[in-house]
Amino acid sequence: MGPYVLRRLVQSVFVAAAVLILVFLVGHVIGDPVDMMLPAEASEELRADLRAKYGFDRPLAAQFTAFVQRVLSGFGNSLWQKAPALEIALTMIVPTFYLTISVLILSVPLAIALGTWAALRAGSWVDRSVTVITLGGISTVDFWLALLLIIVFAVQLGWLPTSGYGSLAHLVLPTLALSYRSVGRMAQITRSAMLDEYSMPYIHVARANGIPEYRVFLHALKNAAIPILTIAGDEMAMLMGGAIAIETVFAWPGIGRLLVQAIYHRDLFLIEAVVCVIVVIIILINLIIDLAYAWLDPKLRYE
Amino acid sequence: MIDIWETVGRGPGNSGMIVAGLAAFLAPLAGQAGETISIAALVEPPSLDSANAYNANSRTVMGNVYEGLVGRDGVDNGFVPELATSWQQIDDRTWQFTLRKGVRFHDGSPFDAPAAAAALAWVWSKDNGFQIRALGGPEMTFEAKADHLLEIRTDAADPLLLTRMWQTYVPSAEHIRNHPEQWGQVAVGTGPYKVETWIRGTSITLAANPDWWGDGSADAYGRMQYDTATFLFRPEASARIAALRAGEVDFAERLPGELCKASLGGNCIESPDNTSTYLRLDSTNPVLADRRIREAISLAADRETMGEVLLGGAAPARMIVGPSATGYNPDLPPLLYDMERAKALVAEARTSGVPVDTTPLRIATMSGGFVGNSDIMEVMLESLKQIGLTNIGAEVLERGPAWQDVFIHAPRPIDPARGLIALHKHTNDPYDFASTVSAFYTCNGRLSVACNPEIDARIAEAVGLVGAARQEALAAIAKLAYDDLWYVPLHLEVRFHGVSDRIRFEPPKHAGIRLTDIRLNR
Repeated sequence: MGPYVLRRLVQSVFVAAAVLILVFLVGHVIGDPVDMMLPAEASEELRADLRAKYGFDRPLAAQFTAFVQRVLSGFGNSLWQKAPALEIALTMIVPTFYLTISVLILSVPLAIALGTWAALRAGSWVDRSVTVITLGGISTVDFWLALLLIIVFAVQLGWLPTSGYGSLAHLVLPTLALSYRSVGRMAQITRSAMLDEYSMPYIHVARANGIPEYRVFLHALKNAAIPILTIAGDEMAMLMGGAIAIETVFAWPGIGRLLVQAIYHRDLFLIEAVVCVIVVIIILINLIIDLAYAWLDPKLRYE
Repeated sequence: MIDIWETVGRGPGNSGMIVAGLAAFLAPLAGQAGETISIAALVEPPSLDSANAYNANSRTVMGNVYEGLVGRDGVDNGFVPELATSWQQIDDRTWQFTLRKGVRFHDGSPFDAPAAAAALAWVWSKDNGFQIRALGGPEMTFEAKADHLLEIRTDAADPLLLTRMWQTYVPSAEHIRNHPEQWGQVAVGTGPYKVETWIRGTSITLAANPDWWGDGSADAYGRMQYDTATFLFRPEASARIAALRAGEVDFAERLPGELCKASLGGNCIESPDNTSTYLRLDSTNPVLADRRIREAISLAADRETMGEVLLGGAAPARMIVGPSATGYNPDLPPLLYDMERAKALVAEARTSGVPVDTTPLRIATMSGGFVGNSDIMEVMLESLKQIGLTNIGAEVLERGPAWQDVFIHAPRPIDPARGLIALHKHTNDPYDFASTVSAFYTCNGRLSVACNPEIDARIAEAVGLVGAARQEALAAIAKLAYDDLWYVPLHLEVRFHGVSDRIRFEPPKHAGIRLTDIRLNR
């Protein structure tokens, strides 16, 4: 297991470095940051002053050296918010983390329950109902669902705040809005994986040997766990990258909204910090998923 | 940043978790003692420093914390005393301001001429290069001539100095001196409210400043009515409306007109804006260079309908600045909508050899440039086709290319083959047409597409004028621009806000919002 983990960690460092280089290059094709810092009417002299101040007038190689130094020294100050960029990014990842965890806590057990129930009753009204519900989740635009939830539960019933951040109550509606799609995706995968397992010869052998049905189910579920884990990890990575529409509708101060704002303001230093934080988190998630694969399937450790 | 889990305990097994969590769940919006107000605001100030508070987005919050030497009268938009009680122009490069006595910053330091001089020098410092310098104008030096007499000298005549002093908030020099590292993160002004908490990305809460000079002063710009005021940042318009309808806030600022009226009815109010929309026509293009074509394009714009239907009530424009700006010319006739006349003009131009059918044109706008811009572009496209400009396409440009290739760094000279009709907006923050003329209409203007030497000569004279003479000179330039029609004015935008029954808001003429203007219905 040790060499496997080490190999994965070394690969992760290379991935992080490659993404950061990509961020630097993309940052220089989205346009002149000074244009966003100043109104259109601002003089060319002022633009030149600002370019010089932030080093945007230097050759690309020199800017890359400065970029590397900046990354190693904590990304510098945000051009737009005038505060340490890494600190801002780390502050905003916290609400995103809360939202992600609450979505997963709600959706993973629910999806596994629905998916396995549908698989166990394949072809029945249960299976068809679960399929309709889960397809609805995949097809529903979360932005639209969010507005609907606000109108019903916040405006009409007054049970929950319409938007914002600061208490558990604020967490409920964004969690519901994001969970429906997650439940839909994961339940479909679970159903499919469980059906595959139930068609395997070892299941028939187990049943023929009189092994109780609940133990057969547990064997099937463990073997079906890898695709479920994959999709859950994918959901987690997507949510940690920021659910931009939901964060906007609910004014949830998450990392996705911050990244969009940073791009809008062409705040290169903040973009670098935010992307770096997201990349590190996604790498960690993938690492954990890989380790979980290896735990579930020992063959993977030796490949 | 508030930690959600603070409300529910610190980990699994904490016995207070469920009870505390339930309490937080059931009472997320518990009230506070004293009069409070909550406002759903569109944009969060990116930082709390005064040098970044000059723009309209930040002013909504920071205009309650900081004050300038001069203010603006909400009725006629003229300059009125604020931190300065009077001022006079000594010569064309020197101004003196008599400062208000008995004023203190939120940190307790006194406001006097040395403090004002140091603070303003910091804010406008070339070395600091803060964004406020985008307002332009000659370099300024600040000197305390007496305890409460401040002199400002400029290295060239600056008729917009009072405008700049209106846009410049005065921070505490002592705080800057003692805590330069807090610049941007801590606001220390003289205003009626001070920043109590800032939860980045969520809200800013202000608390009343009991030492505010204006509390009880006859020439203050209103009264403090609230012990606390919370600005909740809700970037999505529907979220701001929902917050108002749910009773979470009393004021929801800057809503789309249609949505505001439909959702809030009589609780939707209008206020003036200083933003206009326009079409800019490439002067080098052989078709657009013809005055008849430009007039036809203007005649093809159904401003009334587009303003009502697509912009939620925007008013037809005659200039690309509004009546609040110095230099607005109220005598300019309205720009008419007359498709038959437009068709006749295009036909006449075609007959006289203008290559209307063989020269391609394109109408373009920037993605997200302003609300409804792509709809207006589509409507204009169809109208232009109907009047005979059939060789025309439309394009929504992404922000980067639009900004760099069209609105700022347009290649000069403009390629005659470009044939661009650019749909965009203009915000005149100084409320003075001179700044618009310099950028949009002069031969070397940053956003100019044409050259009328008479405008250049007249603006050179007008920028040195003040008062009625300035108004008259700029209004005359407005007439020249109106006749040239390189820029086709479309609409003057209107702002819509939602208010609860608990308050009333009489919008000032300068589009700003201050808590002192939002009054409780008693």
